[in-house]
Amino acid sequence: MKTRPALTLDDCKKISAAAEAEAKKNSWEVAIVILDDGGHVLHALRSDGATPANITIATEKARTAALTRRPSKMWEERVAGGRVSMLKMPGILPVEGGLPIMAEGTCVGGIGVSGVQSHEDAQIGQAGIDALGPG
Amino acid sequence: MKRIAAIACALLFAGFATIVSAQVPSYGPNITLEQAKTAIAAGQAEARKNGWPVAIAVFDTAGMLVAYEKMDDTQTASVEVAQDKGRSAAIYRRSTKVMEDALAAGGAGVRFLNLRGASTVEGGLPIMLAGKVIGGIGVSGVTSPQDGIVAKAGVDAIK
Repeated sequence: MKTRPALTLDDCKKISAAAEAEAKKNSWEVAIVILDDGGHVLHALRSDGATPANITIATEKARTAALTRRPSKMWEERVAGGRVSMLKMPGILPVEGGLPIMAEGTCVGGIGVSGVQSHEDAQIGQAGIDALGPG
Repeated sequence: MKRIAAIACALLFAGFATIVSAQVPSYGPNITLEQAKTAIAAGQAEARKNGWPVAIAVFDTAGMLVAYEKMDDTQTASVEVAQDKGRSAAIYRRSTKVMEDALAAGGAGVRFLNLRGASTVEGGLPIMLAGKVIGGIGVSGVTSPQDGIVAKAGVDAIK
């Protein structure tokens, strides 16, 4: 039987706390969402200054990354490159800020961040992933 | 026939009036992320004590998610069910047990099946502070009375 790694709640807390620290350091108000490899929510938070929309956007960025196993930025670039048909892809939010979470060479989930500029959202997500150690 | 319709109408309105006139507290300020984290931690402590794997979701007064955590080995369905319960408690300012009981009573209570965003399963509670509703908490993973116990532990942590 094949086995695969899975994110535990402790892993999620570690990732989320590091991402939240990165956001706080920069005084950024954001929502941070972590999903498993099936797109199910494992951990979520929205800081008091973030908008209600941010939690939904963060979730959709995370879903894009978790299910396609690629950063949502990749999808943004494909659309920006002229492949507008990608906008019709099911479950894809083609906006930077969603990153796949890798462990032992496989995708175990995704993190999505929303609240500041897209590249800053991604910076926060990456800080979270970095806290998990090398995947 | 007309008479029956009139009686049915009267009964329906009587039921509706009971709901409308029920003592429902007003909304206060929105729950903060710190308060939401406190509620989740308290709920998880209660769940862990009993060996119950659950998902816990906390919503603001607009019914938008503020914080959420799923314990290891929680059944997948509970991810959404916990959110349904928490949102229902926040936007209706009532526990989901109230909805469950009304539905179980039958008759006019069956309409709770058709109320938008209403959960009719115990485990969702409004979060109160100084007599006002500041959000809602939803728990799912074990039996609904057990979910309710975890939710109450979360609510009780907010003072």
